[in-house]
This record gives sequence, C-alpha cells and structure tokens, in this order.
Amino acid sequence: MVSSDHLKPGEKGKISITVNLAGKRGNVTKRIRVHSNDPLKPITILTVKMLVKNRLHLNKYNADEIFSKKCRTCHVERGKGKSGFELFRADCGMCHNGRGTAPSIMEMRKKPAKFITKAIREGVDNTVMPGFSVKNNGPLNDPQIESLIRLIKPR
Amino acid sequence: MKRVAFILFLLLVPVVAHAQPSISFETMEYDFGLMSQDNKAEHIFEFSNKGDRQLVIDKLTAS
Ligand code: HEC
Ligand code: HEC
Repeated sequence: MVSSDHLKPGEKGKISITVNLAGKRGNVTKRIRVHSNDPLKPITILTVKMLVKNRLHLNKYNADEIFSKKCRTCHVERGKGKSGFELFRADCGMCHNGRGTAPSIMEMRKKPAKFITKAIREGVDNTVMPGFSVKNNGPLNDPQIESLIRLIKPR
Repeated sequence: MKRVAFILFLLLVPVVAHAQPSISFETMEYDFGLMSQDNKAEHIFEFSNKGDRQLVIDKLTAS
C-alpha cells in the first residue's frame, strides 16, 4: 500500500508492506516492485525477509523439553511403535534433514558407532539433541534405538 | 551557425535531463529476523521525490 501515488518535488511518501505468516515456515523473502515514472528507476525492488517459526519454537529450549507435554504431539507421538527409517522420519528427520544445524544421516555415518550410540541414548551436551533412551527420560526403548543405530551405521 | 546550434544543444541537455522525477528510498531492504507463524509481518518503507517533476507511482507488484 502506498500513502499517496502522486508526489510533488521534495514530497515524502510511505509504502507499507504486510505479509501474512500463517502456514509459512523457514526463510521467507518477499519482493515488491514499485513502478514509477522516474525514467532512471522505472522499477525499484523492495525486499523484506524473515525466519518464520512455529510459536513453540521461538525460544531457546533445553534439549529434553521436546519430550514435555506441549511438544509431544510432534516430537514423540509420531514415532510411537515405529522403528528404523520410519522412526527416523518421525522423530529425527525434522532436525536431521541436512538443512538445519543437525547433521544428515550421511554425515553421521562417518562417526564411530560408539559415538552415535551415546548421542542417541544420552543426547549431545550444549545442543538441542536430547537423550532418547528411556533411561534418560526419553521415549525410545532399546530395540528402537538399536534400529536407528543400524540405520545410521549399516553393518 | 552550426556551432551555435551545437552549443545550444549542449546547454539544453542538462536542463532537460534534470527536469524529471526521482524516486529515492532510505532503505530498500528490511530483515524482520525471527517471526512467529501467528503474526503478521508489517513494515513501512519511506521514500521521497528528489527530482523536480511530479513523481507518479503507477503500481506495486509482489513476487
Ligand atoms: C506442530 C508440531 C510441533 C510441535 C508442537 C513442536 N515442534 Fe519442535 N519442531 C517441529 C518441526 C516440524 C521442526 C523442524 C524445524 C521446523 O520446521 O521449524 C521442529 C524443530 C524443533 C527444534 C530444532 C531447532 C529449530 O528451531 O529448528 C527444537 C529445539 C524443537 N523443535 C523444540 C520443540 C519444543 C521445545 C516444543 C514444545 C515447546 C516443540 N518443539 C513443539 C514440530 C513441532
Ligand atoms: C530437536 C532437534 C533434534 C532432534 C529431534 C534429533 N536430533 Fe540428533 N542432533 C541434533 C543436534 C543439534 C545435534 C548436534 C550436532 C552438533 O554436534 O553440532 C545432534 C546430534 C546427533 C548425533 C551425533 C552425530 C554427530 O555427527 O554429531 C546423532 C547420532 C543424532 N543426533 C541422532 C539422532 C536421532 C537418531 C534422532 C531421532 C531419534 C535425533 N538425533 C533427533 C538435533 C536433533
């Protein structure tokens, strides 16, 4: 929206831009082209950008908070009763997709099995990687964790 | 005579070139940073006409 579309020499104007964020996710960029009768700049491109997150993801969290009640629907329930790749897609894929800060399966494969096992069971300190084993108050039993280790490090 | 015409021409060019609107924005880019899905992102860009003819904004198109 433009405040006034006819400006005398020296006059000021405003262009307001509103982006509705419902349903948007990740990096969002919007470009607005301003067409005018300025012969040197017939088109000016205005850019707004932002990183859009779900309301629940705006804050920094301690890793194990993703097992709490308000986060379970997405971070725990979907993986119930699953194993292997299905389980990885449900519980791990949202972070380990190669796009964020968490490494992809291929990158993790380079690490020793022992390290991977420890990371999944106990989590990784100072990151949002929680410990998934029941012993660490996580949701996954031993056979499930075993299936994930097998997936990341096939023998 | 030819030369006079040429000099006249030279004198006229800057005048003609100057008589035009000139759109000028303070900034053309804005970064909202982190936003929540249930908000709207609103920003106002300020601009002015730094030329000496009327500036007309024909339209805004989004992409
Ligand atoms: C509606 C489903 C849903 C709910 C509820 C949810 N998450 Fe997420 N979470 C996701 C998805 C999907 C991702 C992958 C990143 C993305 O798309 O934003 C993610 C990613 C994350 C990340 C990775 C870091 C990041 O910002 O990308 C953290 C940490 C996280 N969630 C914590 C939580 C916590 C803590 C809660 C509860 C307060 C929670 N999530 C609730 C779906 C959800
Ligand atoms: C909330 C996001 C999130 C979720 C969900 C998540 N991880 Fe992680 N994971 C991370 C982060 C962040 C790291 C640490 C990366 C680093 O060292 O900087 C990590 C590290 C790891 C590592 C260590 C590998 C390495 O190269 O450092 C393994 C293995 C791992 N995760 C497996 C899993 C598995 C299996 C699941 C699903 C059961 C899972 N992760 C779920 C975010 C997540």
